[in-house]
Amino acid sequence: MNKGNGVVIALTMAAMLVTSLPAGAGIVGTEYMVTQEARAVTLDRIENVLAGEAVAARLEAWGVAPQAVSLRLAAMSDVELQQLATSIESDPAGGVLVVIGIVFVVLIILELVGVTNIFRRV
Amino acid sequence: MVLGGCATGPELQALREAGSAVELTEVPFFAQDEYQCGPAALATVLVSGGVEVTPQQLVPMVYVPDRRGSLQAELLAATRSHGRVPYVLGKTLVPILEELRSGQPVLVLQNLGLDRWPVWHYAVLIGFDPDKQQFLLRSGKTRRQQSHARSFLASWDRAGRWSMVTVPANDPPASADVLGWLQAVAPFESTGDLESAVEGYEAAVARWPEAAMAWTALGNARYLQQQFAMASAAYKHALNLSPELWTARNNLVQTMIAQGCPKPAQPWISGVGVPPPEIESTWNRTLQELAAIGNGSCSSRQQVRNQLGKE
Repeated sequence: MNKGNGVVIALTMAAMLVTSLPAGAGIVGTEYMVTQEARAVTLDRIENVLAGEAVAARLEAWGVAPQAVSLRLAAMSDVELQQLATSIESDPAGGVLVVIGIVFVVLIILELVGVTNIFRRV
Repeated sequence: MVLGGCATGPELQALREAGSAVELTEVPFFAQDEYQCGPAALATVLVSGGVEVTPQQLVPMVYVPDRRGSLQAELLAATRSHGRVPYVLGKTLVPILEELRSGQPVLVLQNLGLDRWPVWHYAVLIGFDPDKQQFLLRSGKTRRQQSHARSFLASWDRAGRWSMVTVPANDPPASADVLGWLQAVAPFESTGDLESAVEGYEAAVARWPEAAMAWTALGNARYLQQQFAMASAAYKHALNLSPELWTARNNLVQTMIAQGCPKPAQPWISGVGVPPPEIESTWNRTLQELAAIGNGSCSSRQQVRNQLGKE
């Protein structure tokens, strides 16, 4: 229920984002101009909406409150949403404070042999 | 096993040649709670730049509970939501040292684990000491962490060498290049903060007056604000600098269409050659739209509307 609502909200937000441009806005935006060579992005509005939907669904599944998801999407540009939609699963999420389990054992050995520095005053 | 250390030889060299030590002692410190180094690190750089915000206020914008962390894309977005431009630095140590020396704390992503078992962490660089081969950080629960250069650089290298500064839109960072700055400002266009976009592009044309793309970007923001006369002037300036910039040409003609002025567009479309493939379909559509509105000087109805729009 909540999840469904969130997706609807996110979709609406995404639709607002792409339709709030002036009617008949035929210019090529700066983001497209500067990313043209570097990355494959499209001017397709449908794709922007789908990207927003995918990111919203992922964030909600990871425990972000639906009303926060809408705000977070609104703060991202079309190109950023398209990129995030393709990379969100593998993108790093920085946050460490403690490490648990077998990883801990491995890391402490690596720490002792001087490969990592995770336990030094983080 | 892959050791990140070997890749950072040039970086160690850059640190050795960096001159006197730097420490930004005024940069505030927010001890992180739980896994929330993202909000803490972002608050550190924002507050340092004069934004009033706390890590707690940033949690709903950048923390992802089940990932126990924050995504880079959301740190960028949240920076813009607070009226600052997030500028991602180049992937060498030189720009980081340059920013620190100019007084700018640098938010960095570290991988404190291994490539295979990554342990992602955000911290804020506040200084370095070439003699001691050290970096100084606000990190986790440690106000002043001294990190040996080799191990810090390895952790940053394992995290894709990602770092950013947050600056006001009218003040590009010391190490910025024009394309990077335009990339950093451009998202304001599609999130609708056109004032910040204009501010950022005006700073761009002031600092890089010869860069046609910067003038085009300024034209784009003016167009979106429906300041068509200012948009035209910026696009024409861009085309004087670089006649091959088809984005500027396309957008100039679009501006004339928006003004209902097909006739003044003629000199900008005839005898200009063939656009490159990536913009060809856009250009052809623009020419069709232009043809569809006839060949008058300017439609008076449109002029009246523009006039009203300005007031």
